[in-house]
Amino acid sequence: METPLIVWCCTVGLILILLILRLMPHHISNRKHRIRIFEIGTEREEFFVPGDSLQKYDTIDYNDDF
Amino acid sequence: MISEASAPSPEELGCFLSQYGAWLLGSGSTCIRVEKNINRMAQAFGMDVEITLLPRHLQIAVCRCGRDSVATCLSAVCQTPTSFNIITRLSELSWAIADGRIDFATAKQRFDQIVCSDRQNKTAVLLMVALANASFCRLFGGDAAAMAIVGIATLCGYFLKTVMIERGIDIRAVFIICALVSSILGATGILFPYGSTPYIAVATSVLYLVPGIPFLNSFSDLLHRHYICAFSRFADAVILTGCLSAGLCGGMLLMKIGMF
Repeated sequence: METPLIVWCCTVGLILILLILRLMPHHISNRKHRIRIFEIGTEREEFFVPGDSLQKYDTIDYNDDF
Repeated sequence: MISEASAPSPEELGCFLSQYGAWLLGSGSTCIRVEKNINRMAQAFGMDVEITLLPRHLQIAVCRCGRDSVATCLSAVCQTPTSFNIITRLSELSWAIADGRIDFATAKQRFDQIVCSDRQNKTAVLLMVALANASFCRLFGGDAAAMAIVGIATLCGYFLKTVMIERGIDIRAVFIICALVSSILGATGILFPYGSTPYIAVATSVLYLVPGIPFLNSFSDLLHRHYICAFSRFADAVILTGCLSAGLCGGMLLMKIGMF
């Protein structure tokens, strides 16, 4: 392989490594606060209407015992 | 003019004005701007002021008009990135004081807010710099492929610059490394057959590093006879341009691109 191509590949590789190292911790720390467009929700979330008690029971099933 | 009862003491005003000037000068303002703004505020409080501007320090002597006691304050010029936002808002502050719209305590509060709240969106700046440099490429006759290459080379180079400056690496080393990386990435069009203007891409890939503001400020200072600051800024700008050139030459040598 000729020298310019090796230099170019090394430069691009180093930049990519730096980019990954830089963005990965940021991505991990923000994972909990990420806004998901699609996700599998719990039954409680699906049937919740404003006014219902918030997490009264330690179950993911919806419970309408008042 | 603000009444003497509500006006600060010369010591208080001197301390405030020296900090104000240090921030204004550090944010990339010219010497004449610093002088005008400080004089405007001092006159509003009924004080005379003498300013000594040096490349890294600012000395201010303040006294009440017609009195002998003088307060002298010295501040180191703040080492901050160039910010037109800070310059604009500090100039607005000087006018607010001169027009008597705010008192000294409010002015101090507002000054603290201005210098603490200048948060630029790094991602937006990165994208704008890349876009601007790609536009430069087009201006010099580059085609779409060259513009794309210059945009990516600038993105990588500017990102690297941000990371290295945050780590406290010497600015001259930062310029050499960024110019080297950008010129190597700018040579993509020569290495792989993309577009018809690959040499324009190499030449314009480092333009984002040109220290334009220090050059302009040095000429402004020269015109207003602030020779020490003018030569200091000019020397700084020339050294950075030399570092940029060294990085570009290194990149061209590594990529085996003929210079002449």
